[in-house]
Amino acid sequence: MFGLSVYATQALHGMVYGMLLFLVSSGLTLVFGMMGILNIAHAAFYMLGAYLAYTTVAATGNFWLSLLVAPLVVGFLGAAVERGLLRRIHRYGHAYELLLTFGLFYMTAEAVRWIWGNYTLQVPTPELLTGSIPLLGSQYPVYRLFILAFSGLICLAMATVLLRTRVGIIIRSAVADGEMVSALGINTPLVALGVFSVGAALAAVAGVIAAPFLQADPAMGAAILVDSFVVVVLGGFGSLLGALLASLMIGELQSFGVLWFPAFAMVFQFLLMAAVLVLRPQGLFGEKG
Amino acid sequence: MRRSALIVAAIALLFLAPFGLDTLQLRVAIEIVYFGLFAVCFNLLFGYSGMLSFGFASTFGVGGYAVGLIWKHFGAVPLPLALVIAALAGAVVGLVIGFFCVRLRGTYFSLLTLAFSQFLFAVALKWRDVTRGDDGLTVTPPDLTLPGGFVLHMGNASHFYWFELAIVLICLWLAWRFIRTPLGNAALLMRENDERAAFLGYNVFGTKLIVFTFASTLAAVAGALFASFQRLVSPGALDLQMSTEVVFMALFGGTGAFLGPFLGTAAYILLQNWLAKTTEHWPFVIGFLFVVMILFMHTGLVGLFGRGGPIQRLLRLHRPAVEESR
Repeated sequence: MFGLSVYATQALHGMVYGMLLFLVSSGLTLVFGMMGILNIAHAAFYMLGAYLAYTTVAATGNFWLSLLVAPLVVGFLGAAVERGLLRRIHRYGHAYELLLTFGLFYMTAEAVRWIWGNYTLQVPTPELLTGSIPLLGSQYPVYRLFILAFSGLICLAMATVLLRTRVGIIIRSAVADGEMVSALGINTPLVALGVFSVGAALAAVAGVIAAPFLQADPAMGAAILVDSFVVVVLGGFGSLLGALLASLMIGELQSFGVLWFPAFAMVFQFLLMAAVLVLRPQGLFGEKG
Repeated sequence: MRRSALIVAAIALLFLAPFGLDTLQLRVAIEIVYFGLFAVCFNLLFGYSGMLSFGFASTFGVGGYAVGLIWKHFGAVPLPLALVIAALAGAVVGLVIGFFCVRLRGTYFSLLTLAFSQFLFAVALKWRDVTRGDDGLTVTPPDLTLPGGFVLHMGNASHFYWFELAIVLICLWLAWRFIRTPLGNAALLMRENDERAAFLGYNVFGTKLIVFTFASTLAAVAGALFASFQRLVSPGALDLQMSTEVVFMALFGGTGAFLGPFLGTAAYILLQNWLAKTTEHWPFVIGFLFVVMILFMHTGLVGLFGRGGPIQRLLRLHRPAVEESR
């Protein structure tokens, strides 16, 4: 029905989206593992990243600058949300924390419409990365390969920090058993603040590099939100490797779902998420019950 | 005695409301009544049993589609019968969804309800032969002849309001009775600590499933009323936006009291109508108020004005000792 090159291109598309999804989900899953909060506002951080990229490019014409500005701004915002808002209501229980992040997401989505308008904004591809190159029997846009490479690099950096440094050990132990780590004299609230903030910054990075590819759109937050939930569930709450595998899986699933069953592409992932929650609530790759 | 007299007086006043309101206000009142029932049902899950559903619109929408399909395919089925069938449809869907969801706790439960509602949304959107997809299904409620020969015209706002109010009051009474059964008490216990409830010999799964099914049943009635009034049911009746709004309504009012969500619905809809006239970015204001509310008064309006709340404490500043000795 289709040539081999179509499949290869489609698989690449899936990988590109999967890696973006991973950048967003990684923070989400770590925060959930450490604090027990599924931070719905995380998708708002991603959206803010894309819009900040638009504004930075519009103001200075320099895309690379936005890659610095957006994570910084959003990282601080994330720290403020954790410190100023979430920690205040910690004693009411997780349901209220979830509701708060939910309210924040709703608010930010509307604030974005208010500030930037209720339409899609084009973010130009940086000049260095325009055009396409022949790959696997067809032409493939260079920018998407850049997304792949860049997010791959971040992924490697993250793995190095988590697996090879002291901070990484502390974070992984805090995800596994926060109380124990706290009893060993480590300031876990500070670690949580850091992870929350860095997670937010990573979501913003994802937003920035997604901007020239998916454009800045008021609905982009809701779209990635649902996908990243599916990833977190599939990968297992708190598991980074799980999040990576699940992200790539969802990317491919969407990519090929659109190709083969366009009418039901949107149902697939929900069925998958429901099936995993029912049969294996700890996720496909998770260890915690 | 005094209390029941008050309740009777309040109900009589509610039934007289159409004489004091113009058509536009009456339409708002009608909206408040069915969404109020919806929010109370939501709170049976969240406030009473600790189950925060992010997909509660699914059974609301199922009720709407049920009456729409009944009247489309079987002609003028009498309204009460159609509502009963809608309730049954809600019960069946609630039972199936609940069967999978109530085993899970906390965030996992919320996520699974979300997944199911998105699935139903997709079905409503894509199964065009039955639901007519995006265009929505026209709902044509037949007029209702009362035993005395009086005919309630569903196209008439006052008549619809009276019928709707009667149904909602019955449902609220049922829900009120329900939470006062031993089973309702068991649900409260499970909200606080379901492990302990299990050790005490309660059937946690069964209890939660019954509560979930019951709440879904009444939510379907609310959805059927919604569809009958709008004369249209579209996938919007069970999308994420609808599930979101019921969370806002219930939380604004306060989840700690039975009628709190009803009060919250009234406040939410009036606020929304007023804001929509003022700014096109009213969702931002709603979201902002919601965040502020969770931060500073997570018990909602009921917590603010109710027994022991800040307003009452303020009014009784001069006699705190009496309060404490009680």
